[in-house]
Amino acid sequence: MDKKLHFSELYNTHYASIFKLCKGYFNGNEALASDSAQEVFIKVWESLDTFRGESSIRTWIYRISVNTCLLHLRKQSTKKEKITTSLPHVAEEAEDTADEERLQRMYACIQKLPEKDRLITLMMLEGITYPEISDVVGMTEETLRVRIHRIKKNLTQCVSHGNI
Amino acid sequence: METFDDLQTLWNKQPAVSRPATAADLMKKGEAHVQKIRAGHWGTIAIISALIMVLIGYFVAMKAYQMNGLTIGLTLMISVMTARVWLEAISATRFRRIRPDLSLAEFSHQMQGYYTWRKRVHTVFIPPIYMLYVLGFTALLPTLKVNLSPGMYLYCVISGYSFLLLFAIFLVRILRNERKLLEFLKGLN
Repeated sequence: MDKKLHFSELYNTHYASIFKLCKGYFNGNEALASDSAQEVFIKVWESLDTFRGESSIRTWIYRISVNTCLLHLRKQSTKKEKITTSLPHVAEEAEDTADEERLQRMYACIQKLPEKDRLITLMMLEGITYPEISDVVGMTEETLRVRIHRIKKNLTQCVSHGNI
Repeated sequence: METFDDLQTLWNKQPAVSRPATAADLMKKGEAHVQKIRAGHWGTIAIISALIMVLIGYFVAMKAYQMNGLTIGLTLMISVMTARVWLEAISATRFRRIRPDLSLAEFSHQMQGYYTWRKRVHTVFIPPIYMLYVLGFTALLPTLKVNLSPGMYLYCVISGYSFLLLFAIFLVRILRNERKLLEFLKGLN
């Protein structure tokens, strides 16, 4: 398939999901999420020729996304400032007040998780399968399952009671 | 008490997002980025080559046996700046070699290797480079004093040492930021 056509298809199919992953990673900050999601697809375009089909294309894009999100914020020194300004964005978009509050709590709880757990959680919420997540993060499926069990427990506890 | 399924439902209820750019826009940005990297790579080589040519040309013009403060100072400054640019070029090449599509474990391992190298650059190579640069500048001053007006000479001394002080602060800040990044990457394991 023509590279440009292939890229357009990938972009149209996966952008929304990658954006949500980045948004969750950056505590609901849409500006940061949009920047990093675009950075992801620029890297996808640059590296598309090197994709060898050893994993699914979705797994490959998620690998790029996770690595990009991981370093995007760390390169900036104003992390805290950017994250605290992000919460109003969440409030603006949710229509239902109760859902809005729960969603804010959920973002805040995801933020409290250790870095790797945060990324695993977001992929899980985006419906990525366990074998794909284990491929993206580079851990065995068995270890991942144990970790996910713990993450789910911590996350539900945090959203319900406010602490991990 | 919320269940994870409740959270999943809540997550899925988030409104759909519109794409801020078209695929074609991103392809253009991607191409521009690749061109910039290539231009930067050749630009660095061109700068280093030009500096070396200037140095050689200067030595030929001055005849090397005339070893005065100006020659020693300029030689030191140009040599250490060349070394500095060369180190940056090596760092940039090492960074570009880290593929973005590695697994998180492998990516963080390779990034740790990169930032360990950067730490070595900042702690082992940069201090002597900086000291030699200061020494080179200081060696220039007697010649500048003879050839410049007192006002201009004073301006050179103040602006030169101020620049060196600011540059040192800048280097320390880079070192601190990169150390934080290294600690963060180590924390991932």
